[in-house]
Amino acid sequence: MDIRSIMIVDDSEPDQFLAESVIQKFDPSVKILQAYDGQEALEKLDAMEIQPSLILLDINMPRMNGFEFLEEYNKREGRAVVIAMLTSSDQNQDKLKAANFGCVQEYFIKPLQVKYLEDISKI
Amino acid sequence: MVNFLSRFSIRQQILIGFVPVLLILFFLAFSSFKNYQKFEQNFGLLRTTTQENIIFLQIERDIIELQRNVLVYSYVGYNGVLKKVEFLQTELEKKFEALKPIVESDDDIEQRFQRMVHHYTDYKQSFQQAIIEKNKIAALNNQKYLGLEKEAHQRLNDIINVFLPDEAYKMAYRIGQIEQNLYQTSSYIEGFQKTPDSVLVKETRLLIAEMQKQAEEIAKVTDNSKAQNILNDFQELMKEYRSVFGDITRANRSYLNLVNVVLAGKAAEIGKLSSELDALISKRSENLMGGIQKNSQRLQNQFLVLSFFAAIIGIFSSILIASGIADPVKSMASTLLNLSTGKVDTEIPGQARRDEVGQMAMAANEFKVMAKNLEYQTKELEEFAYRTSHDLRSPLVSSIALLQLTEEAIKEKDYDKARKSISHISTSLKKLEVLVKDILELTKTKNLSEKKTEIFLEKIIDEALLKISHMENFERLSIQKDLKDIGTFLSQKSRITLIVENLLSNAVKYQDLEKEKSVVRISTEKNGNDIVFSVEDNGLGIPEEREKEIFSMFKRFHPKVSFGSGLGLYMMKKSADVLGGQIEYEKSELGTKFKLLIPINYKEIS
Repeated sequence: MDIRSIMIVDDSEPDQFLAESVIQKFDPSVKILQAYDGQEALEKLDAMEIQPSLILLDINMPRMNGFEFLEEYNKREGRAVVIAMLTSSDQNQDKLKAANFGCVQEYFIKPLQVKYLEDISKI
Repeated sequence: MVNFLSRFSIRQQILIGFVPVLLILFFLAFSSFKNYQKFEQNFGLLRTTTQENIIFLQIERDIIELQRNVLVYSYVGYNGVLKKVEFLQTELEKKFEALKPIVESDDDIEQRFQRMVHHYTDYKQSFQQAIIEKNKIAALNNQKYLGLEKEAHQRLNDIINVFLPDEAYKMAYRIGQIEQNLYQTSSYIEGFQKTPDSVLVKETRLLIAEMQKQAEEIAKVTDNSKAQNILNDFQELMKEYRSVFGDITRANRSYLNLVNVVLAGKAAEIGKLSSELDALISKRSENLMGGIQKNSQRLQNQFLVLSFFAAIIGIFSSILIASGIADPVKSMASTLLNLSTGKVDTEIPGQARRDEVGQMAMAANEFKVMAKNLEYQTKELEEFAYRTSHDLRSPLVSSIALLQLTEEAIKEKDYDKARKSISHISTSLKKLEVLVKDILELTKTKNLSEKKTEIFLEKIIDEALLKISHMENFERLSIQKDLKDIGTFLSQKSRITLIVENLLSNAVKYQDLEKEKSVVRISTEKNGNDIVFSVEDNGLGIPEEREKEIFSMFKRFHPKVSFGSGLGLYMMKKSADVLGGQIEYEKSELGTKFKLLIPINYKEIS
């Protein structure tokens, strides 16, 4: 999989900054998009003609959390985007919940590492 | 019906259910008693009638016996028989006396009875007459007839004595014949007295005529004057003898007529009447028997019908009680089973009932509310544990990673990146600090038990404003106060302070920086029994679709404004609950409005 652009959906600015640094380390040419919660992400995705290659999705966010985002996102047609959860929660209940969404490919525990992105690019 | 019954206790419901059955049974008993009384009355009448029957039969028998004895007496004339006749008469009279009050009930019977008594009186009189006749005969017999006979014998003796021996010898045969006839006559008369027979009368008359003829012949063949005189005397005696015999015969005829015709007729009449009365009385007892039978049949039918109704009503009542009690109890049991398996949303039926089932339903409902609360609290606790572990860990993980990044940046001499990274570390740690502070505050809020003190709300507001004045963008706020004179009231100061501070600091935090001016309106007023404190602002507000989550744990509504723990409003809500008041959110003219209502005389929630 060729990762051209990544959308980071996270309400925490430090985490956004961190993810951004790791992505740049992985491949400086990757275009980075930011959304601070599910709702903002949906709005941005709806407005984009070309969807990002990957969405890194946090769970706990204001307004619309990660799971709520996934539910809404699933309702939209023709969105073949790879989604990876990126969260500090290592709870099984969250992992199971995420696995139930077909579009979720990976479940990463923060902080993001270059290795994770490499693994995804191999899919 | 069931609804009506449910206002009574179960015991009363069962009793009410049995009332119709009891009523029918009571009616049954009552009508049975009435019928029994009728029975007894009829039986009494029947007993009396049977007694009457027996007495009439006895009268029939007695009158026959009486007549028989009268006849016997008429022939033999023994005193013993007369005594028996008298005894039988007394017995009959006793029976008439006994019947007198009984027969009065029926005119026909009474009339016949009176006739019978009348006949009997006649009978008795006739019998007295007969006795007189009988005595008359005896008197004739004793006084005259025997005397005449004796004198006749004397005359015949005298004749023998007046004749000379020769003549006496010649005459002795003739005189002997007369003598013989005289004896014969006397034996006939004696026999006649016992068995009055017309042949005997005839024979006796012939014998008397014969004796007169023989005496005449003797007078013809003799010239003895003395003897002729005696024979004349004898002829005279015979005439008298004949006349006395005539008297005796007449008396006897009259006596026999009395005994055989009059007395027998009366006796037959009495017997007939008695038999008629007996038949009438029998008919009456038959009627009575029929009545009793009919009565008993009716009683039997009534008993059957009423028993049938009692059974039907009993079954109906049982079904009613069963559906009124057993069914709700059954449904209560299944409801409780449902509750016990954790289905706390189970509807609890029968709460409107006022009986034990209703009480059970109410208690079950209390349990349901408790279970729901417990479930809610457990969920909340789980959520709290989950979120705190996550939210505490998250900034730490970020900080560690950022420190690494800083280190790398310094190595690479990318100082700009290092600076940025350090700034983010600071943000993360600040977030952590806020969170830890709020968690501590929340724990304190939950466990604090504080005495009520006098609250000066205005002072608390001023202190809170002073406290938040160092916050970022505080100076942008245009604060408008509308504080009515609400005086002081008693409440828990630290909780009120917490709510006031949080509401005001939220107004600072969630300003809409894109707006030219931030406005905050603080007001207090008294509304009925409540003190109302409200904070209204034109800040970011709450998205409409999120309004119902507003007071839940860890809910944040604004991305990028990341210094909220998501616990503030939750904490305020908990504090308001403890104060017995409430906190409300509404859209307002300005933007959003939070209202805290505190009852002045609140009931403390433990």
